[in-house]
Amino acid sequence: MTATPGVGLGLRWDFLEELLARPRATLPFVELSPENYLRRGGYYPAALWRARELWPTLTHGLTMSVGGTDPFDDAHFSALKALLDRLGAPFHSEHLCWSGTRDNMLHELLPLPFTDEAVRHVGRRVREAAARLERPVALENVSYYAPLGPPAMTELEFLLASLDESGAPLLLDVNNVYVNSRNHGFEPLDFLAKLPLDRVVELHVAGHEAWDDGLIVDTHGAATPAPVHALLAWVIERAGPLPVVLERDQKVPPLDALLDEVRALTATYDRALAAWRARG
Amino acid sequence: MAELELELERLRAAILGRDDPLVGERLGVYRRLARAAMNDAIGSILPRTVALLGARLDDELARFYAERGPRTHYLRDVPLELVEHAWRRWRDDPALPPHLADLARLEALELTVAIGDDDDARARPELRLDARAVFRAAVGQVSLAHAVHEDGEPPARRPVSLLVYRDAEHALRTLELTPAAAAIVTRLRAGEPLGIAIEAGAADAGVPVDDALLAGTARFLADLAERGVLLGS
Repeated sequence: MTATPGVGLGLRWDFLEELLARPRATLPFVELSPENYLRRGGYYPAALWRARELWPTLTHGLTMSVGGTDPFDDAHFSALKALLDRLGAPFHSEHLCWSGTRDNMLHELLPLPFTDEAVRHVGRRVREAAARLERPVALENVSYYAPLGPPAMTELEFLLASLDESGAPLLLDVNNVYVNSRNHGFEPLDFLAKLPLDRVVELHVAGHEAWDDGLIVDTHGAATPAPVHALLAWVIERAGPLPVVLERDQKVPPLDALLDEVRALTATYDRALAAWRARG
Repeated sequence: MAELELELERLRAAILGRDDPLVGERLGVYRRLARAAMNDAIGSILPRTVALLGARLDDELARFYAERGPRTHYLRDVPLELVEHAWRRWRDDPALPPHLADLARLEALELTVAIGDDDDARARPELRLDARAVFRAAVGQVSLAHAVHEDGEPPARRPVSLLVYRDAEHALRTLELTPAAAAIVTRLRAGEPLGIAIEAGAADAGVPVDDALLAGTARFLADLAERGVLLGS
């Protein structure tokens, strides 16, 4: 399960064509969401394969609905596996959430109840997904804004139990940790310190926005702020080299501004990696 | 899994329901986020339809979410589900612009063609009277009661048959077909051999199979081949 370390970029249509004209050395790798390319022809799949010729590619799903109660969609999984095979994806990642039930797909990362029943369900589903895709399926900790139903455990306990039950690697989104810490009142470093960093296979970073009611929302609509840089550094200093993906989905700036942000994150990453090496 | 299913169903219903049972609750942010993402996709794929719906838009979206809701894994396909759900009712609703349903169907067809399969593995046979013609995958055909593909505002009310295809540079192209050409293409795309399609298509359109029709059909098919709509030669 090897992936290229360093700071890469989530591929988005807003800058895809412009990025393809840049030198290979612009980025160590890119990450894409298969749902944007599956079961379609035309410009975007063609552009995807041009990108694949330039950069190693990680895959990050949006609608597997790991915690959903509908059976997995055979056609979707078949198409997904074919794409991952062709890309040579070392693993696939998905969110620790649900997105659909009763035949509806809601296109949002919805919170699971923090219960033992949900943990067991997630464990079964992740193992099934990994078997179907014939590669590990990493789970990403999500931003959540309210618990669904009466919680039987904390978010951290739910995440840890879900990782144990599923055997999944962890895609650690440090922006989500920060967003949740602000919305639910905890210390993000305490949260990170309790995670099994040896199971982290990838990191996500992004920016967020505050709504009028004070809620911090994981919009991926702003530059990565200093506190998220700090959390990234904290993890790299302890976990060593990992792939880090900058996600930007809203208010996408010009590509040069995004690449400036990648360079700033790379500086943070490199300093943290030097500290990790100094630790021996 | 009873408790888990109950909790998920509660939030699903709250997100898709006409009334918002989560007013004042923090969980309500999910209704706002989910509907915003789907509304944005609908506005992006169906811009003219959304503009034409005007003040009816919110009610139509609410109706779609409550009565059927999105089912596709692919956000880009949610607008197609909306159109499939609503266009017949829009066509028959005298309170709506008469060309709304046609416009929605054309915009939906344009997306379908834009994302249609590529043709890498498709056969490219020689065109013969006794053989089936092979069209590129990214082709769609629709018959409408208004010329919504033209610039007129409002569009002229006249029957049109349109062939929409994606060219080699991935750009969408639209051809307006004569009744005979439309009937022949419909039969060819259904898999009928060329000779039968011409004969039956002419009958469908109420025109004789004469030298003029045969010559016109030959020119038309050559043009489709030149455009890459018909594969082979």
